[in-house]
Amino acid sequence: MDTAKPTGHIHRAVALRSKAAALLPFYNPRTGGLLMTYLLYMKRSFIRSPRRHAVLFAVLTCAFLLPLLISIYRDSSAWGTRQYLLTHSAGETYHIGNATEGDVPYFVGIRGLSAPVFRDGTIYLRILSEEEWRDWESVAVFDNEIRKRMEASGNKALRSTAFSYEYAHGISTDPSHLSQQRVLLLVNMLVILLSVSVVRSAYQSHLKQFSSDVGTLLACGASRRQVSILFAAELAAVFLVAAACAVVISIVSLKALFTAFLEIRHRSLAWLIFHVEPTNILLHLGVFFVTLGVSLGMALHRYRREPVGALLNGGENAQKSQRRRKPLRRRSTPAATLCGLWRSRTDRSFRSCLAVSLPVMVVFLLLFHILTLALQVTGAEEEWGLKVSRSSHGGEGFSAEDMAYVSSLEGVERIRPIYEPRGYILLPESPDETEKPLQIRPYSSLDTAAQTLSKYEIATSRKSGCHPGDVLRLCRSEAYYDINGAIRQPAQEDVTVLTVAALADTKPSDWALDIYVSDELYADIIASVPATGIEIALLDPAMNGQVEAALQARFAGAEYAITNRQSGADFLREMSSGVYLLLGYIFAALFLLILLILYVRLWGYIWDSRPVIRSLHRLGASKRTLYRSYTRQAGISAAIAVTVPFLIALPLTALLCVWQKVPLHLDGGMVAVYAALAALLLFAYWYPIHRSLKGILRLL
Amino acid sequence: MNAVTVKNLTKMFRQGDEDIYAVDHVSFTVAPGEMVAIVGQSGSGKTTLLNLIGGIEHPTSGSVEVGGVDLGSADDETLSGIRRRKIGYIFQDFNLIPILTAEENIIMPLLLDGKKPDKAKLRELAGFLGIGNRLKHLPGALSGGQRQRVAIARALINDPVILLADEPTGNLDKKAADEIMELLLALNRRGSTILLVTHELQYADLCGRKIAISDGKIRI
Repeated sequence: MDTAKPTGHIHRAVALRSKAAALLPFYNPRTGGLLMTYLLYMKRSFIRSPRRHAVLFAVLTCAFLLPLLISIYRDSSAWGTRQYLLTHSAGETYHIGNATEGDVPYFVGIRGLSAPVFRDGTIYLRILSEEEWRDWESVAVFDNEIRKRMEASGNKALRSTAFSYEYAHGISTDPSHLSQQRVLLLVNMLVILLSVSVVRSAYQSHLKQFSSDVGTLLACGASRRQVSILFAAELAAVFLVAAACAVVISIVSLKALFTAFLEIRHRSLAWLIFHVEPTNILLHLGVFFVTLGVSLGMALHRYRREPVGALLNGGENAQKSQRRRKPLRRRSTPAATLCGLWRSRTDRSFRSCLAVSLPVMVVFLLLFHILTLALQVTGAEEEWGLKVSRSSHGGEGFSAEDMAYVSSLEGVERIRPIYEPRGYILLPESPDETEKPLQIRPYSSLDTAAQTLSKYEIATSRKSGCHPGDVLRLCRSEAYYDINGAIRQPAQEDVTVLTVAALADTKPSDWALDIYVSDELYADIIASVPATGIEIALLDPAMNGQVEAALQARFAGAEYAITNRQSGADFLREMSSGVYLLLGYIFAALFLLILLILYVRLWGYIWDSRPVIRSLHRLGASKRTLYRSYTRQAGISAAIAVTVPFLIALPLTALLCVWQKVPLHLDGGMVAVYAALAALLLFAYWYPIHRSLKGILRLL
Repeated sequence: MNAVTVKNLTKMFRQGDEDIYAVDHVSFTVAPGEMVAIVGQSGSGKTTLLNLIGGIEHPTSGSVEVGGVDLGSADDETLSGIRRRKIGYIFQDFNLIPILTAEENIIMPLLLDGKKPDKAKLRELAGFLGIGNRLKHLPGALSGGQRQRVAIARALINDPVILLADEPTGNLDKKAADEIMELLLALNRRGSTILLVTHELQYADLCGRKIAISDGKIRI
């Protein structure tokens, strides 16, 4: 009788052969050879396990999408700023406004400058040598030459504007723009790191599901090299499709959003123009591809060490899992006991779900907080909503009459004059040294002013190299240079001796030494220079347009510039709806993908648990107990998914607030957003479990 | 009082337009301490009958009483309680939970009942069944015979009114099957009431009484 029944080994061999035949339609049992056709295997694999591949595809697309969106936004911001600078500077060093064709010959033949180009009432000139353009001393020589030529032309209306090398080449040196770029880069890198971890975890989990197939292929004679090529081909296919989808989705959707809400030109100092930098996209994809490649390499290395038998059993190493196992503990209720069992032995699906949802939520909350904070800082009501300034070349400024006119305008609450004392230098200590240009500011303007300075005491930046007790000699430049530009010894009465009494935590400027003089000395200094700017506080911020129009009517010349900060702030506030919409759109897309991933994974988890559910029900676990045990497990994971992002994002935001010196903003709208997110996450974790369990328990 | 009383028990399935009677008006009783074999061909309705007695399936009509409790009127919660406390079930495919060790599998019915496992009883049972040194192993690391012994220990841990054994030797080789049968007989000698479903007559002959079933009906 025993011989009539196949033995266990024969059974196993028959089962393997039939499984291999199912996996490999090109397997030829008669010849015993494997005619590997990788594309055919992939086709079979995709058709046989569409859910597994779909989940991997969805996770990869989702993971690629977020960093790409942030990267494109960063590229657009940088591109917009570059275009702004290039448009305004036209790539030239000097713009001489109010010019006529007759003025052009006066600017011909300046050594080191390009030939003058006349266009639309402006003469353009460029410093030919990049080194000279970058060197402020050389630029000062060119400035003098231009001024002389302007005087020689006899056209009093000529106004010169000079652009730095960086400005004319579209390189922003604006600290706020650079800071924004740095923050975006930081967020981008953080998101890449998180996405890399998600991608790695998802791909490892995907490969683990195929370990039994690998075992079957190896048992049937496939070489490990053939198996490696199969998985590499599959990785390449899924990666290419997911990368293409992510790139297309990110570009198309952001382009649409930019067109509808975000694009800024001509109205603002901060331009934002949609732009995709292909190198950055390729760099992102390269990082993800390397991550996936490393994951595959590690998995294949593990398969190489794992015996075929272990792979056939799903790659589980019994000894390893025995060491990791936590003892089963009786808890308050049978449902709690079972929940503890699931959490200690079968929580991998939930952990993988957390690996997807946590990073996305953390990044979303961080972006949400950063955006809210940025709008709070930049979109706030400006104390000094408008500023009118006048070019101070030639020592002209605003008269008392100008001030009175501005004060009398309807909608103006108060004004303050702005002085920029120029033409002062610090005398060199020795003949070998050169004089230092200066920026003189009142000590009282420092937020951190902690002590009272006597008239001839000053403060300097801590990083300026000066020390308390150092003595500096202040002098007007015309007392140091004669009319021909030669150096002369200034008279004793032209020199003011200053003592460094305090150090300030300010950032020193690159080209000049910042000194903060006592208010008494500052009053003496500005008494002899005209106000070059008037800052205006408005009665009502909404009146900024009206006041700006009145200012334009009075100060119409090219030497005047009017800055409407309030309109900039208003514009940023208006734009905030677009930015919030962008964030909302990104999050909605990602959340949909998360929902899909969670649904498939958790539904799969419950579906794979059917035998255990059936066994326990047969042993006496009621349906309610089983339902409660699984929903309790889902609830714990959902609670982690809800709380951890807040616990990470809120302290980081608080740190950001401290850094930016703004209060932590929390209003009803934000709380409503948090509550909605929490509800969405709870639903995302509960619903797949509830739905699949109901279906399975009904059949018991 | 009988351990099991089955009256006019019927289980009907609908397949297309046709009504299939898996169990057709079956009535019998099992006295305490008795060992009864239900024999029949594959598809004769043996397992369905056992599932109805075990409260795993609901009858179309008729009644089942286990230890004097009518299963017909019980809801899922009550039925689950009866399965935990009054019935010990041994399955052909063992039905062990793969993520639990042998010991944890055995004490699971107690945990489901909210009871603290009695370690002494567990050790005594494992010793009797010859699996004392395999308690910390996962089912995957046990042989077929050892798995079935674990399943028997699990069925006995709650001192059930009746032990229902559905083809307990079906997945085992001859030697292991003989050993399991020996164990069941030994348990019966110790006082356990056993209802054994089998298609192997040599094992049915070892039981005190045989009920032959064919097309869902009892054949005398």
